[in-house]
Amino acid sequence: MKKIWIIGLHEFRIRVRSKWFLISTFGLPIIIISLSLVSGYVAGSGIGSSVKHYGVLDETGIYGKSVAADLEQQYKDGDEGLYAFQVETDVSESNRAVFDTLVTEGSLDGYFLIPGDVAKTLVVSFYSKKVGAFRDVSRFERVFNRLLIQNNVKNYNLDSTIVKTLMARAEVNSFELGKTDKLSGSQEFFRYMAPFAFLFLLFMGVFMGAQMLMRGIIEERSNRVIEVMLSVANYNEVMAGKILGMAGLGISQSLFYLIVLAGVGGYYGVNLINSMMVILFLAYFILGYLWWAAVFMAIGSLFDSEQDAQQAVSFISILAVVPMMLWTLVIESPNSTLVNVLTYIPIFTPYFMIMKLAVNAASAFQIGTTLLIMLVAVYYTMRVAGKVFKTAILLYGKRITLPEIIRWIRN
Amino acid sequence: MLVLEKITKQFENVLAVDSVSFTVQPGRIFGFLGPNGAGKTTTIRMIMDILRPDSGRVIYSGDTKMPDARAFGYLPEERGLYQKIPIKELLIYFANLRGLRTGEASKVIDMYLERFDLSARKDTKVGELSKGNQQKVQFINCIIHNPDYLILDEPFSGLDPVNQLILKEILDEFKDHGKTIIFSTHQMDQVERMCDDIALINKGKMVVAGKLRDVKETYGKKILEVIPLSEADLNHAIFADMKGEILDHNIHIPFEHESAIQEMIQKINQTVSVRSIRIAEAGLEEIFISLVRGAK
Repeated sequence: MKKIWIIGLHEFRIRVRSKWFLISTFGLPIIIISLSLVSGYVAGSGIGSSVKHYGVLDETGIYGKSVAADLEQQYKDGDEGLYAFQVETDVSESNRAVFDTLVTEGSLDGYFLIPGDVAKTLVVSFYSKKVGAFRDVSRFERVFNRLLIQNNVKNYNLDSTIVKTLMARAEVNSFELGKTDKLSGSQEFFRYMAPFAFLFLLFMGVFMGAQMLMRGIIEERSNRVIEVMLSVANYNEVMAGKILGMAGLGISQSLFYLIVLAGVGGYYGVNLINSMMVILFLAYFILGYLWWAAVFMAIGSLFDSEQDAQQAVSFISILAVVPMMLWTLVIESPNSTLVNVLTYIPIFTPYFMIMKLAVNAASAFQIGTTLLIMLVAVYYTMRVAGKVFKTAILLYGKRITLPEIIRWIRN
Repeated sequence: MLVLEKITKQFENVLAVDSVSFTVQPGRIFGFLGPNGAGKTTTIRMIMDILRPDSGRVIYSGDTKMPDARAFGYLPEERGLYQKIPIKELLIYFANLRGLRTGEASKVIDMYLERFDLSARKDTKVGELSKGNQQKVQFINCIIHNPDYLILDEPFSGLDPVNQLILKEILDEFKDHGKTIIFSTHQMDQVERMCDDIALINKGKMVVAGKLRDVKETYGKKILEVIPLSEADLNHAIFADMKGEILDHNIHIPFEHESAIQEMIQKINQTVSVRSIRIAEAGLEEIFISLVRGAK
């Protein structure tokens, strides 16, 4: 046990002081936070925006000016308006040609064409050099439709107060249970993104740790340190020590990220992390890490070069990306059949469970059974990996085939 | 004392070690010899418990249970060190694994670094050292904990004559302290100079084992060593007729009985010009070659 501890501590120490570990640990949150702050500042300061120029050819002569005035007034960046409209009522071919030219030359970003019978046809056209002004078109559409309804109400001599009441729209506010303040937009966004953040943390921690473990084993194999190691400690002690060291590294890194995440959550007024969440995160982290560590360690013991080993792990690594691909499904339908089935497959279990926990969709039964499944899976994977490691680690310069590996495992 | 009793190890279809037995006495240096692929490394790995024998047993000072790692200093043939760690830190790490406390290990390490002229480089990363210096660090790593058993596979490779001498001195000290030393090499001159006992293994099987002197007496034939005067003399057909073997600028001619020597010398003197002719004893290298060829 003492040797496992010494090996683990040594592995932890040599890696924790490497500059790449420090850069990846502290650099990643700094980069993410800096990027979000910069994008927030850019969005707020207007540095990244410019005034959009649109033309409106309004045959009705009723809507164009009002829509333009409304949008110019409504969307502002400080005192600066975001939109500038050039409104004309002449929709003749020659005037359209003039507007086409203005768009081609770049004086206008595009123009809207409101036909005279728009109240009947309910179709307004938008012309531009390239598509992509979705947000601007949708804002125009919204204001135009409001004005169209108002005008119809006036034409039908209806009581505008009654119509306004009938057309009133309700908004849905989000509250966190037990709290009286409604969630702001950024809080809602943060809540939505939190499961992904947890998934990302788990994925990074587990994979970086397992990858480092594999690299370490390949290095010791190619450096021929492994035989010296095996003369001072037995296979199990070497294996366990290395796994322990990397687990320590992954746990420290994940705890640091959890603190950062909790800090950012706190800044937005969202309480993401409680003690139970931390305990379960660590439990799934450790079990997920041990499973992948066993797989990567066995693969590492088969190869002399990292390049060959990376090719071998690439196939199995693709499977690890599945939870990343399905994260929106887990958030929106955490108890769907597909999610529930995948949750019970050990290779995916920690990732799906951590997302479910983040959206409060994991029952105590599910937590208990998945932890048990992971324990069993880790135990058997470790046994198989141990057999491969013991047999392959000292076979230098020999190309090991799959049937050989299967034979070792069977024996 | 270390005793190997009929140890056997098979890998898939290859019988790597086949019922090998020998005894290594404390206070003596034991040369473990054999051509490449003979089964030396597998045998050593079984002594070190890195591999388990399929049958047979290894007895360590009367006990079949292997002593703790602290009892062994092992320099494997396939050896290396962590490249990015400073020398002293690395040596302390291995010393800790063998049960030495850091303070205690530090003193011994400083002493050996001084002895091998590496004191000034104790904070240098291993990867920045020359191959010879790395070899010295590897050897220091084997002995810092004062082990009872020293198992060294090609310990002299990569060392200059000065450091070979230091290493030899240290091995002699260990020998004088009654340690059990196994020494595997292809350098027969080293074996002749240092070993008390030897064992020769070929294709997994024991060929010969015993005291070096006895082996040389039993297997070492006497030869007629001729040093011809010129290149033309060296390549003269007479030597081929006498089944002579050219080694450097000498010719080694085997003979069955000493009675034939006079006639042979006379014949040589009449045919070619020679610098010297003498009766010599075959070296271990020749014994090694003839035994290995004979085993085939």
